[in-house]
Amino acid sequence: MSQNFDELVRHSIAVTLENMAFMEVLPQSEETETDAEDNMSARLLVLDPLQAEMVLTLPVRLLTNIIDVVHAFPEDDVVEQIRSDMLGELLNTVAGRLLNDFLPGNQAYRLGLPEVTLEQPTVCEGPSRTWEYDVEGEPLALTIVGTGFFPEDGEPA
Amino acid sequence: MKRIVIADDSATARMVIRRCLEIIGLGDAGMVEVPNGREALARLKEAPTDLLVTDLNMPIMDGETLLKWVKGSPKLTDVPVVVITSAGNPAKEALLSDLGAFAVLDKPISPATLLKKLEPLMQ
Repeated sequence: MSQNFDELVRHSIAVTLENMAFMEVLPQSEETETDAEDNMSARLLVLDPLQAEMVLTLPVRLLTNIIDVVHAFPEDDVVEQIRSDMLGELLNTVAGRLLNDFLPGNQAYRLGLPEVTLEQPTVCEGPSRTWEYDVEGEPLALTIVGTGFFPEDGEPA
Repeated sequence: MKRIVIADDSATARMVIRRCLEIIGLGDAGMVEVPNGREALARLKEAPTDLLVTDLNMPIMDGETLLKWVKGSPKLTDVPVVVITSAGNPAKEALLSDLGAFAVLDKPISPATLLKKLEPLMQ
């Protein structure tokens, strides 16, 4: 696996969370594992110029903490309403940042709309890779699926 | 600045933009938030506006179409438009600049990058 691509993924997530929620992204430690039932996921298709799917998964607890920072501690019922919006916006921003860094300078790209779910989403078939991080003591994972990024044996293009 | 219109279909993105504007010293401006370009146009026509900050990908009317409408309207053409997008690249940025965008910024924005672009308008 290309160390450079690993760094692009880490950088896209780190910049997004640092700018939006002032949160630091660290390498995953064993202590950050959580029950899958506590997680929320968003998935997003990359439509052009390559085909891939991205899935961002994190615990509801971490998502609520991010909402508290961004929206300045809204009421609980408001938090419920904006979870999907926040998770979708996070993934949309991570994907845009990653594609900006990954594709050649002038190459345009097109993304689908984020879909948010409380369950682990079913994703496209194909080579995939998952990157896991620690954010405020909670786990955050980004999975990328598809030959657009990994044409051969999971190696980045 | 007295009035700023923020157009983005994501409430989260609008809040991030609003907070960045507040941090760089524009917290006293009246901020109007709308979820698409069509509503932005309607609110722009309501009252004089000092700045429009818009996302690119929005339902009903996207940011590029909104920019064309604003720059094509004699009453609105002088409103500076900042486009904030997660789907930007140099070619798109050049196109938006040609259409009259005052600045194009990639998401996630930070107060520092926003301040750098808006400084000429704030003096």
